[in-house]
Amino acid sequence: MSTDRSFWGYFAANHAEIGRLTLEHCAMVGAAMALGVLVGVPLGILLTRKRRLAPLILGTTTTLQTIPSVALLGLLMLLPVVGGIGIRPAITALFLYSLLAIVENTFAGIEQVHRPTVDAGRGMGMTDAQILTFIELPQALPIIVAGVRISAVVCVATATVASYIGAGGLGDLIFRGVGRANNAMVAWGALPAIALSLIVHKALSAFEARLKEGPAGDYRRVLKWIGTLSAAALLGFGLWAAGLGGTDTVVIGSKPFTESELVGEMVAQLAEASGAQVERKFYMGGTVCFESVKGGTMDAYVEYTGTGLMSHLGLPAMTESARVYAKVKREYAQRWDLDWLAPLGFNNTYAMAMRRDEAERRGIAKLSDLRGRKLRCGFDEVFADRPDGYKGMLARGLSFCASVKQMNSGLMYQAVAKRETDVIDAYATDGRIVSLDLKILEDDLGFFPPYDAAVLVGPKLFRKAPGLREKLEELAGSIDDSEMARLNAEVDSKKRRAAEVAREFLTGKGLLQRAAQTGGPESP
Amino acid sequence: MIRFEKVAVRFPGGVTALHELDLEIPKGQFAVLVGASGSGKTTALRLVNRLQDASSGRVLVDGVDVQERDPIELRRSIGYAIQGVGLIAHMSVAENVALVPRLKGASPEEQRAIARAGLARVRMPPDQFLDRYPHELSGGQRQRVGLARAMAADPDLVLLDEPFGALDNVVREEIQDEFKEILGGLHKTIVLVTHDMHEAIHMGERILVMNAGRLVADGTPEEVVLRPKDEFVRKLLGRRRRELENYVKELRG
Repeated sequence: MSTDRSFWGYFAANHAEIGRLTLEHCAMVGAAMALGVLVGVPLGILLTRKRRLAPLILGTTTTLQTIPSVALLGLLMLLPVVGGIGIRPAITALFLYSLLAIVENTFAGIEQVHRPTVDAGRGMGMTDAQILTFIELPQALPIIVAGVRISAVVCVATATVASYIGAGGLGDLIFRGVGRANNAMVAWGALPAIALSLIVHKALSAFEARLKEGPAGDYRRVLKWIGTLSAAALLGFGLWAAGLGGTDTVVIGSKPFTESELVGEMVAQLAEASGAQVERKFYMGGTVCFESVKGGTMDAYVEYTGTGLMSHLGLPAMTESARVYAKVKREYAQRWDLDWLAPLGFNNTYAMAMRRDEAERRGIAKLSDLRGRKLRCGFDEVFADRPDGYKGMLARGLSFCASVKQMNSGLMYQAVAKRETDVIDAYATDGRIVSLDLKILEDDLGFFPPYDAAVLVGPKLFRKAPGLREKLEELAGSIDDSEMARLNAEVDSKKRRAAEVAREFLTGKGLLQRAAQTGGPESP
Repeated sequence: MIRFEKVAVRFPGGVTALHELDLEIPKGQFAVLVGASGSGKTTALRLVNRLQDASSGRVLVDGVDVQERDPIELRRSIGYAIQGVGLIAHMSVAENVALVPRLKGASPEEQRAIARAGLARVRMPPDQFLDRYPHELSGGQRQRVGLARAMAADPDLVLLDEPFGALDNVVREEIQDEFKEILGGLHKTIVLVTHDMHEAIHMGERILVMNAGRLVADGTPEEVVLRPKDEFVRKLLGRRRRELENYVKELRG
């Protein structure tokens, strides 16, 4: 089944996945909001009883709110139990974000309750708990619900970012769609999220209005409401606990671009063929994969030797492939007990790329031709600061950027195709170099170090999937540069599924039985 | 019976709300605490059901120091109504009236019966009002529901803190008459707090005039109005003295 670029075509081919991701999104938001209410409302009540705590608690929740979501997810990744990758840190982060509005509104809602009514209640012999449930909570309810509404709407939107750490949800489609320049995919990630926001907003607004309308807000309704939320929270905890379980499950990750997904798919399918239960954590942001394998929450993903050498180990660039590989293999084993399997065969080094017509017009063919030019540069998130990136070029006197724009690698290719930037840092095996007709500038300076792809393996992988080692050894050396670029183009240009392209490749190489169709992104 | 023994209330910051008050209100008496705001009248009232604790001295209800009683149980045994009534907006009239019996664990049927009887006692047709909500009532009706609620558990002692404060003049006199009639027939100990001398004379059999935290006059309306001993009481009566004197004579008449 090949996917479609058109809006309705994409929906027709992928409605099952869109539905699943929407449900995942709802579960994530629901669990976070239920936790938010179950913790936030009592916290707000506590503040009305212990005012001295107000600056501390409101200050904390306000500070939490100001942490950018990606940064919060990045921090949570490093924590045990509530952190790591997947849905747990996502729910934790969304829960923390939801607290401010709920705590503040509960506090403000109870503060504005008519004092003589409370006084009369106390004078008639109500206990503190009875004043809370008979008078304060029912009368504060519309304002508390408004707080929940504000939190929930923000939560639906923020949850799309959780895809960054492998939590799933509609963000998956948005991230993948941007990475592949597939606008229909982006739209089908964004539209259900917008619709969810609107539904949540409308539903809670209507509830609020009914509560404000008159005396209908009986406290019994509050209790039912709290009961319903508790049930939702239990469901949330269930999901959370499910995220904890399955210790024998093999977790395979990928970085947020097509090539990484393709080779990640290959590793995942081979693991499934060896009988393991596999969980895919694909399209994870930046260094999430490396941190996760190091932290033990992921078992394997495909990394590049050059990235390992310079980004993870912080060592100076080297130019010889074999020496780089030997170096990272030795260092990783010593420092983190991680193993680099034999390289897969392709070298996805950085390369400077321009539109072919633009390069010809300016007379640029080689890296050295860039010297002294004033170009508009578009680099991915890490290239500008890397010793083997633009920073290293500057150190060697190779300066050519009049301006530098930092962008997601998917947007980078679109930007150069639309002439919004002149030169970008491309990957040598990228399918889009062919499909967008870009020119790779020849590295006549021997500047770019090797980026040989290899599977980076954590200590538990082969214990969980004993038969997998032989299969991965067979995969090593079987994909060269042009084969990888072709596979990338199958997904990026022809809009085929990565799982399908990977399976086709593996069966073609005889690594996978034709019948062994055990996995795919729809059945992780 | 209520007894204050050298009761003082000092608020943090040095303000003394009540200077050593000695006072006894016998069973079945209708006493009115009257004074300007800040005179200590409301503080004195709130000492009785422990909404306020004394800094020194003792308050006894039926011979027992209120400090020795559980405040919740104490309050449930005393009727209480305040200015603006404090009806609970999201509860129906029936639920409001039967609140204390409900807190004490009455069944829904009992609560309904109590609400019915309570409304009848304050002359509101139960069938017409049981299922209404406070915002659907007039000011006078709300006041009557508040009284019904204060009396619902049939307490021996009823505390009323400016119960007519939120009413306009015409309605107020009507309700005052009604309350006097209703309360008069029940033989309960009643303490009413008001800033209005006219209301005090109209309602009470005993007038207790408060000023700056002290009791400055204590007596029947006649004693207080016709033979004021205290300079302050004379001032309090002021320009209305003649009118109030006539009013007292008329009431006796």
